[in-house]
Amino acid sequence: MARYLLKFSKKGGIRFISHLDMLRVFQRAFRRAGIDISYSNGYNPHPRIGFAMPLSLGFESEAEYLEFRTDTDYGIQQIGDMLNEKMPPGIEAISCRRIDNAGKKTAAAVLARASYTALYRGEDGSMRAEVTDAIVPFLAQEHIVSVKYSKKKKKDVESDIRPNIYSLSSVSEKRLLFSMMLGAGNSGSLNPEIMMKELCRFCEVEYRDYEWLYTRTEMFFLDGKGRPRPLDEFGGSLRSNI
Amino acid sequence: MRPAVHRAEGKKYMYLSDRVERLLTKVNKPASYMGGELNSVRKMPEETELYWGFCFPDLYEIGMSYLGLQIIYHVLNSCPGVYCQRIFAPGDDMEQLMRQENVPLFTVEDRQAASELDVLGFTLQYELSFTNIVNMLDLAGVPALSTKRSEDDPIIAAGGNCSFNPEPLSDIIDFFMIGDGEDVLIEVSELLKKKKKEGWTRREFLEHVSRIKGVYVPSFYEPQYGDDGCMTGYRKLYNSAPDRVVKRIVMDMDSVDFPLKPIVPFMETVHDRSVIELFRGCTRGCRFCQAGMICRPVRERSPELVRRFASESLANTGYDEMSLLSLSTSDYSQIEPLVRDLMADCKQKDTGLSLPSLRLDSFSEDMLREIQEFRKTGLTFAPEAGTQRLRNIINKSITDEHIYGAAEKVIKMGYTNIKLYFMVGLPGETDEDLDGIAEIAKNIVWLNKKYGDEKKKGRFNVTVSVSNFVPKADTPFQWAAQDSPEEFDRKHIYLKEQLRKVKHCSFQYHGTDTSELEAVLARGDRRLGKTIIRAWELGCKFDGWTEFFDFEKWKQAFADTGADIDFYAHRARGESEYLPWDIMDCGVTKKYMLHELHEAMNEIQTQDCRKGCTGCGLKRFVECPVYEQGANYS
Ligand code: SF4
Repeated sequence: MARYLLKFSKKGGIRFISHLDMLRVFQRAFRRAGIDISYSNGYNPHPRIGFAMPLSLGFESEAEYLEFRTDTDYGIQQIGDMLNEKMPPGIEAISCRRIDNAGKKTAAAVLARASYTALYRGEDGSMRAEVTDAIVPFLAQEHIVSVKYSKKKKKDVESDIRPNIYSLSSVSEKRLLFSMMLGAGNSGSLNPEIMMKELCRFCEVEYRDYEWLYTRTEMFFLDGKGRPRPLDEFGGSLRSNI
Repeated sequence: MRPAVHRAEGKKYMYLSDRVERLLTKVNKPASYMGGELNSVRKMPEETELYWGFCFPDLYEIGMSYLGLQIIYHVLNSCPGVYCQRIFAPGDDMEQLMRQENVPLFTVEDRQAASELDVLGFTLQYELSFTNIVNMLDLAGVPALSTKRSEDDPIIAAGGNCSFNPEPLSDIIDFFMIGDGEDVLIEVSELLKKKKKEGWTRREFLEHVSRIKGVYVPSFYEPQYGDDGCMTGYRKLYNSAPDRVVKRIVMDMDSVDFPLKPIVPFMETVHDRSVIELFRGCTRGCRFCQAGMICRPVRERSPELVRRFASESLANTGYDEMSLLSLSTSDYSQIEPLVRDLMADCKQKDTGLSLPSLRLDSFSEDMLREIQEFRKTGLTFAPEAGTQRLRNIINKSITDEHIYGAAEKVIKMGYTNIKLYFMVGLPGETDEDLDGIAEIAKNIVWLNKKYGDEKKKGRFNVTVSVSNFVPKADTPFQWAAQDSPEEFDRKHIYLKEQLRKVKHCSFQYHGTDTSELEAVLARGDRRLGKTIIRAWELGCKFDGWTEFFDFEKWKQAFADTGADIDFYAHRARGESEYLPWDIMDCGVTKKYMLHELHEAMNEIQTQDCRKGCTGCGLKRFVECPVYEQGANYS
């Protein structure tokens, strides 16, 4: 049994492919490439393959992680090469590592943070200063209450998103481009779009969803001292850059 | 009213791709409009002489499960200089956005405006998609009526089963193609290239194309009507147009092109699997079945090729399931050895094999179990009629022994779900035939009581699913009157009452309104073109979808355009009456159909013509292949 962590990017039109569909894209690519994924034991066996974290529809990403296991020992280079050959345009394998020594927990289970950028692509760039200036007072709030309609509960649900914002800054002099570090994974997760909506509401700027492009730039786990480390370093020794 | 979409003009649409992308963030299924799927084709302007738009008048997920789309896409894109892109009916949410933002109908591949293409080809799979064609043309900014279109507009073509009676769409479509598409599409494409190069007018092109075999140009024929409103014939308006249009037939299934690299959608569609076409045509001759008549003769693909295609298609797609397509799988002459081999191949690749409509008699239990394993639906059976007498009338060769034999077999194997399909409203049907349906259900439940596994017995369910008979053009029942909606309702209630007393039995039936509309359109004439357009104006689209179907609007459209539902749906045609589709030669002669109708009235079956020719008329054009059971294959 071999265990792998594949890092890949997802850009362009393919950002409209949903999480579940992406999993199928990979499963089919593995089949085309002749790579057999292991199945779990038990009454209802399922393929041992999964993403570290779902990506919202319409987001791009520079750092997606797919963890999977195979019965056969494939060379890392072989997997990367095969995938790059067999993947649809927009998905590119960046690195593939063996993580046989990563312990019991999966990448999804250790995930704690994710970083994103938000880029404004609309026509009205004039509100750049307003939004940028609002960041400090926005973050100075003790609580930031976001209201979301819950389909399950069939009513609006309030939540405080402030604890899941670890950083937020403007990173361009010319463009409306923001960079942020947010909570991710089981211990508390925040979607950057919700945060940007709240920021825009805070400074009374209209938010139109199709004007913003979000890119996930990295995912992190916490090391022994509680410092964020890119998932790229999770449990692995054998590294291969593709 | 729907906000109009203005047609694409030059530079304004340069940014169509970006504008589409903006809408994608707001719609339910963005993957339907996104393109970029594995094995989809892109071509550069330098290599493109002719732009085809393959238009499927329904949603992406329906169209992408249709093998014909993959075949045509492959055939056209294999032609040098031809670029075929796909266009689907946008979902309701997308359409609203498109109208708001003035985004015209676009291709999936390049997001090119449909109106910029040279030719748009619609596939006509079911009558209830007709209003979608009008809607798509409107979204493209192309006038629906062919007489209103200018030289700059794309040529509008159509093919597929419904084009065997194309008249309801004849005001809209410039030309139809009937029969197998592979050859005719290439010939038409060559002609379209010439049109472009030499600057022919639409009229000049239509004159040329009308001489290609299998092509019908409706504007060259004017329908004539008698005082009673019935058709009396056509008056030709262009002398060189053929008197009758003969369907195209591709004879050699082993040399015809087949897509081994089908497009693999990102999103889940109706069927996510590799599909290999096993054979075309059907020899059984069920008298209600249009496909069985218009797709003759039977042409099989050799088992060696089917196996090779299956393995290549799986390797090129990464699907984990494969399926065979034909009108009745079990009739394939070498089905047993083929299934055995495919099963072995699939097992090796950890792939599921799904075989629709397989008859059980010829397979061992072990084999059945393996095939059934992958079938989610359980056992299905289509006796179509409840008594032997009515099955004789419709020429369905299943007998009670077949039904009970198969049921006993699967019950003994431990299956707890059996689904039975019947039709109501068939010509010659009486309430005794409905009793027969209930009788069959009862007997199967009894078989379960007797042979069922003790532990599973209680879970057993037999589903009786009933559809309403719709008389179709080019069938022996094309002269028949459809039951009135009241009569259908009465029969449904009667059956429900009969089956209510049967334990472990559930009953499903279809709405009568859609069946009635289908019956009108399936045997309609050219006057219905106005009705279809009117229905669209009133808001009709996606008529095949219950959530959209609005019969009140349709009734209004019939009233507004002076068309009479009864005249089309509930009137028996006279045997000597000229029928709107008589101008098409589907291969089977009208004389044969009439003979078959008379045999039906005498309750006499006609044999499967694999056992010997019954003289349907195909031999006027081709040598029908003879397939012997189990020959030449080891
Ligand atoms: S001509 Fe004869 S063999 Fe050929 S399809 Fe018709 S009935 Fe069958």
